[in-house]
Amino acid sequence: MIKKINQYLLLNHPLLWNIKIVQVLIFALICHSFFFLIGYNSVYGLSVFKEWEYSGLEHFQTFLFGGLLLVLGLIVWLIYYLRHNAFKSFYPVTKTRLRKEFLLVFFVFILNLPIFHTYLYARHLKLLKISAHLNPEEDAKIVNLAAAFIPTSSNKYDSQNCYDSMQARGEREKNMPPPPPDYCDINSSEPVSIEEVTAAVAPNEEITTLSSSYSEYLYGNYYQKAIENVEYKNDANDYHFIVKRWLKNKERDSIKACLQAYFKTMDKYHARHKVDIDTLVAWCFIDEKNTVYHEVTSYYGGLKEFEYAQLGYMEGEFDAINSAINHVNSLKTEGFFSATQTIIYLYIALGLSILLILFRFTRLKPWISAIIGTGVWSIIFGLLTFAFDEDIQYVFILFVFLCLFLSIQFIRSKHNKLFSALWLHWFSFGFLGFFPLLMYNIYRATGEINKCINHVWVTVRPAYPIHDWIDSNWASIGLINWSIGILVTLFLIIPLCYRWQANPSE
Amino acid sequence: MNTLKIQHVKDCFEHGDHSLGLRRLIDCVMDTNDLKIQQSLLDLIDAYESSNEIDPSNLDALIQKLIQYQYPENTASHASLLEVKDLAKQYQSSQFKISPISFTLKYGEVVGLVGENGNGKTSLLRLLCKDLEQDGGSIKYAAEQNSKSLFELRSRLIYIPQRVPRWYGSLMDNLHFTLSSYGITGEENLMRAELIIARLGLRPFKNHTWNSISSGYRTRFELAKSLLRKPELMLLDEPLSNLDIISQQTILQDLKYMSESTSHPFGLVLSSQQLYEVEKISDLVIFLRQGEAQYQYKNQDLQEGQELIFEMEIEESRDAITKAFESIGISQIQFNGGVYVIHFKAGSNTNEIFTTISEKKLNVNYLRNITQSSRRFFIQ
Repeated sequence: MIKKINQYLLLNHPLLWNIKIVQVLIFALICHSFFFLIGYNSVYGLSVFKEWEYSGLEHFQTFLFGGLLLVLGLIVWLIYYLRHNAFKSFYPVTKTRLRKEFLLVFFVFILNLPIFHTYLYARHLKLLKISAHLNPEEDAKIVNLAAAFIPTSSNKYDSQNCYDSMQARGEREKNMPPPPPDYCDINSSEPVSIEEVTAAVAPNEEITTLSSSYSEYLYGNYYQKAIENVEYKNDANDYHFIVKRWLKNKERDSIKACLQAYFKTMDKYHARHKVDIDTLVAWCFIDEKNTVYHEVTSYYGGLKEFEYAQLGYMEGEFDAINSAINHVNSLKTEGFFSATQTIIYLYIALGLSILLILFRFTRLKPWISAIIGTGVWSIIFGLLTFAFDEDIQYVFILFVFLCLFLSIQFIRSKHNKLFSALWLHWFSFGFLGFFPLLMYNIYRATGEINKCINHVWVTVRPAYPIHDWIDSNWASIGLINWSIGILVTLFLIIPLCYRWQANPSE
Repeated sequence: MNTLKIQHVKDCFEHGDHSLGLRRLIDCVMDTNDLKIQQSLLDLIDAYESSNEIDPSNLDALIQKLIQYQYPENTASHASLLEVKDLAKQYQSSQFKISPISFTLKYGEVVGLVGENGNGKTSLLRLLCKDLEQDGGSIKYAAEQNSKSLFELRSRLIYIPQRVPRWYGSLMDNLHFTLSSYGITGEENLMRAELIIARLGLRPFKNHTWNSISSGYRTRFELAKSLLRKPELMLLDEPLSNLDIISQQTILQDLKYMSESTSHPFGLVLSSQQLYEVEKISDLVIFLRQGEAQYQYKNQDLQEGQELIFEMEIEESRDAITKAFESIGISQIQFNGGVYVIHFKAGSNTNEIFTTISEKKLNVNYLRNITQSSRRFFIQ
């Protein structure tokens, strides 16, 4: 069957046959299916959420295996793909055919590169499946309430670590006082007018630090402490009211029920614990002098079951339950595909495609020389950047344009083929950096300008709208730059290669 | 034209020259675009290869089909294909230069390049295929009219270097790839590939790879591939160097025959050390020494006062030879250790020389009149 398809392609579609499209598709299908199966079967139960990391070391072996498989597949494919070259043999090849070939090469890369992503996607689907019955928001409420009665290290009670709703958290953060202005060195300040000072600093403004505000939100303050003066009306403070009421009214049964629900939740997420609830409830009322006498050890894993059973003190995987709820929540609320990851794959595929077609459409000697030369240029630019700070980026932009100009000039005048190819290669390697650098410079030039006035940084010019647009659209800029990359390759680099190939050798 | 060709095919088969007849028959059939005729020929070849006999009824039927076939009229066949005027090249890296060369090539004609090694034959071929940039003079191609770019022009000038570039995969796959790259697809692709390998005696090697065939067959394969590319100008650098003595004789004759194709004539420029084989088929032989050209045209008349030059392998000594031809008169005699090159004085004729050899009972092993051969240019 495959042989028949290949024979048909050979007789009718030489480009598709040459690029070994059938073998590529089969390889991609097998690899993606294989990695999908591995990914899907790598998740056994809910315990995975305790240490679940998206691209952590736990997947390193799979990543390494996928990488090796890709490299091996790429080498085999290249051996067959590079066997025949109609363009270098001066068969009647048009520029459109070269463009098609480039797009096919890009397709081959983009099809095969994300095999590790297929593995992660399969895991994602399996995780969604096994966590379908979980409600992380409800579980978070139980954890939040119970957290007030479990005296682990006090920093665990930081409001930033509690699982009240996002809405409540947003409300809290909105009510935060603005951060104080940075102090600056008066010696480095530039002279400014008195009007600028007056406009920037309101008279008698009280300067409060963030740290002092945050201290009011520490749950630790409420443990074994009478809760007074709670004014904020949000979820977090609802907990405070409840905790305050239970502690003040000595509602032991309520606290016990709360803790029972908490440890049941831990069981649900396969988080281990060895805690005596009655002792814990008793601890809540031992002392009323606002002092934490007892601590429950946070279990970090690594203990064997035997040791775990022998330990006399109370402990539990408190970090793990927090982490698990967080992961389930992000799994359910965030999508799998992200723009950044897509753009990364697009860029890798584009870069590899450009590298390969330059090898395919020119010759080995200029290709190798250009790669070595790129290394040398990088060192030179690195040293210049070190010596002259960031201003060297203009030299880079100038260099890219110089390469373009020289490659066009050399190819048009049928100048030395090696040098004309070198300039073309260097332009091809560098032009993708041009647009982001341009955007970065616009971003820098249109940002707000601060000056140091009376030891305080003052904004003397606000940012332009384009500054904020660029700041929030780096992914779109990346995508635009990638599109420019495709267009430049199709309509500038390929025609130049076409003309270069026709030029006499000497 | 085709009537003559078909008659030639009939004559070959009538005289029992089946191999030559088949080759010429394939040429006639390849000139057609009729798949049915081509299939009939392949059936005939299959039958011949299995029984070593030609079925006369099938042959006659095929010949009848060819006679009835309306060959397209080719108006380009008498036009000039290549006009080279004062072409010159100076290498910057060395002192070697090609002095101005001029010649014209028409469709169906052959130009042979001869000369010792390192005298500019390959450089001239590379200049003609635009792989080298000339420093002076001009090259005018008929193909330029239909070429939008230099690449397109170069795709019509087919150059086969002396060292055939390595290819990968099976021989047949390569031919199919070449054809489909030229837009010849499907059944026609299959048929043309089969015909060309039959034409060049490559059928037993159709599934072989580079490593499993000899260098001679690699050259044949390269020729097959080039012929499928419908060339307008074929530039061959030492195509005979890897071929055996029989193939050297037949391949050049075949190429000459194919260059006179009815539907797709082409011009041929080839370099070779096989001087006499090249002279047989060439309309012009260019001898190159240190980049300077001397020209020998086909059927060039003997100029008045021109000496007769003979190449002779003879057992007698130089003195004996001088004495034997005393009556005719020798102006110069050279011996390279193997053969003598004897210049007879102007006014002498070939009959006198043969008569003298016979009368004096000279022991001549080999004799060739090189008066109108470019062989004489090799004499220092």
